[in-house]
Amino acid sequence: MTTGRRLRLGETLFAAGIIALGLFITVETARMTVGPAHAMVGPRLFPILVAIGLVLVGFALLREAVRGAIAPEGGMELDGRAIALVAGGLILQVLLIERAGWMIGATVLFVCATAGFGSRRLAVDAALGLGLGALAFVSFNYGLGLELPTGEIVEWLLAPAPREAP
Amino acid sequence: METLAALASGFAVALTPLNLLFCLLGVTVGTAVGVLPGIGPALTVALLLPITYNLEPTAAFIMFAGIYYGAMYGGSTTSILLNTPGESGSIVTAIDGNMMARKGRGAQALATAAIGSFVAGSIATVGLTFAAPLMVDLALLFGPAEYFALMVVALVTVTAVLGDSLPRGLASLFIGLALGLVGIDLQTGQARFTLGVRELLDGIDIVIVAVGLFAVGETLYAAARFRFETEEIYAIKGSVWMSAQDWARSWKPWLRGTALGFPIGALPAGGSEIPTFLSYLVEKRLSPHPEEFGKGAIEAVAGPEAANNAAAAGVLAPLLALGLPTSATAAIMLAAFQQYGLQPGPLLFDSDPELVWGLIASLYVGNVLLLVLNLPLAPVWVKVLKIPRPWLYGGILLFATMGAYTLNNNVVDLVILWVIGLLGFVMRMLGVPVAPCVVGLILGPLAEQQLRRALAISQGDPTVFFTHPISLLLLTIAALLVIAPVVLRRRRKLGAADGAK
Repeated sequence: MTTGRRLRLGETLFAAGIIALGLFITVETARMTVGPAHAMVGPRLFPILVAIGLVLVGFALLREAVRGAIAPEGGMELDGRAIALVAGGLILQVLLIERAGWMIGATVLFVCATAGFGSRRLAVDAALGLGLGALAFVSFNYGLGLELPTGEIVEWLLAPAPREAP
Repeated sequence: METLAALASGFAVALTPLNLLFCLLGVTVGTAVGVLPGIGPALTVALLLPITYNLEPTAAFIMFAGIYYGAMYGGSTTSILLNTPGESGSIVTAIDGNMMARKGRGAQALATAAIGSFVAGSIATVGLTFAAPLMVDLALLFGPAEYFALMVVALVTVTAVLGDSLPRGLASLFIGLALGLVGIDLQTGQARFTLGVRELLDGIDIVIVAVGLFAVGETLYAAARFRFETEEIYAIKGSVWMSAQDWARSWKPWLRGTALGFPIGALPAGGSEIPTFLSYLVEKRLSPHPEEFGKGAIEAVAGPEAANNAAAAGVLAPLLALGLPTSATAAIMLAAFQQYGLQPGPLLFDSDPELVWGLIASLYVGNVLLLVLNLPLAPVWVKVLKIPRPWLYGGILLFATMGAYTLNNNVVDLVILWVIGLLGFVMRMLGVPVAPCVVGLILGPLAEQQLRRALAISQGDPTVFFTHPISLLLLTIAALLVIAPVVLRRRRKLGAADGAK
């Protein structure tokens, strides 16, 4: 649940973030070591222009936020649990994709996302996610030469265990 | 006549069985993408970029163009039957289109949209055929200063016309420009804003940004709002044919919409929203029964839908002839050209006539295919609309991470995707448009290059941008585009205040 006031707070934070980004670029540009040959039209000029633009836009946004002319009056309802599920699913995919492999990572992501959209049929969703992931894996890795990872764990499971072999 | 000969050779390329197949694939995928809420052409082309890496460029671009045109057709289905415009160009269509669907005239609305799109798309493609070579001739007069000024105009138009708040558009644009700074400076080899991360030396890929903003950000937003919103699909019933009266009321709006859409799309004057709004206003003013507007007038579907498609074709003219993208999809297509080591612009017409003219010819073919696909097959697309939302968005995320990962086969890209996705969600929530960010990201580095080239030639004298007449003219236009709306709004406010006294 987000009220109008909190949305305005969000706007203010967004404006502050834009200004901070501008300042960050300014500092980083100042710290850049540039050869004398490029002093005039070097790699610094454009970043500085962008930084100036960011700071100016940031203040304009701040003015809008304070006036509160743009944000919807009654605020906007947001489902925090759904956001957490979708964002969390993506993080799990980042952690899983190389270790457990694309197919497992994709299934987990799919289940998290469908749960975020209120689906309660966990088994059906998991099967569909695995199916989609496997389809993508097979068609793109073998058909189009992409390299979706099999996953270290899966490779280890599939590989013939060297010690047991005589 | 030279143009016609070139176009004929283009048809020879576009009509080979393989390219015809890619065209068909493109328009089919494009229509599906347009129909499905939550995905648009920019995202689809971005997701296909890593996959098409091994494809021959001509075939890839024929498919991309098909997706682009197809999405314009498909978008109307969503806005008419579901009242959720799939992309910004069909917002206006949704108003009366959805009212028609509620009254059981959904089929007629779909038909006038599809036929109007065909008429507009075909006429505008002819326009593109002849305008592009003219633009090439013009571009040969341009030096770095003029190119820089032109890019400023493009950046400003993309920004200033979108949304109701100029600072918000500019914020999006400058975020894009800032993201474009990351990586090695091409002229000096200086690493910039990489924060010591090795993977950032190559810069932030536009595919990651587009997928992050359009797929991840959009999915997060849709998830956050899902519980609170209900959608209703209006079934198609009764006669599916347009009556004689429907035809009589539609053909003039189609032509007027085309006349509005193509020039606005072709002169980098920014996207397809403006012509659709203009078309709506024009039709309302000219109509003998303006009271029907907003309640399901067929003209209000025919005109804007034609304008939308004509503008989509127009946008390709500056992209091909000047290398100048003026929409998010065009920006991704420019990235696709770069992926193949091609630089759109005047030289491309000389170095790769087969690609350029094959692409343009494929647009004629694609339009015919789309008419066939959309008129009789409309009920099939309605079924696509009924995919359960959890699965749709789960699938979008799955393919988003696949596209981002396979780009360089590293997890860092997925982390960047996540961060940009959250940024996209925040922007969506605060009403900040995302298209300027994507266009800024791709145009920023190009604009910097031209800026520095111009200043190197003038030996550091910044007045060069104001002493060259073309450059001065372009910069003046850009300044007016920023200032005029602000002044108009203020005057209107003052006027309202006076009226209150």
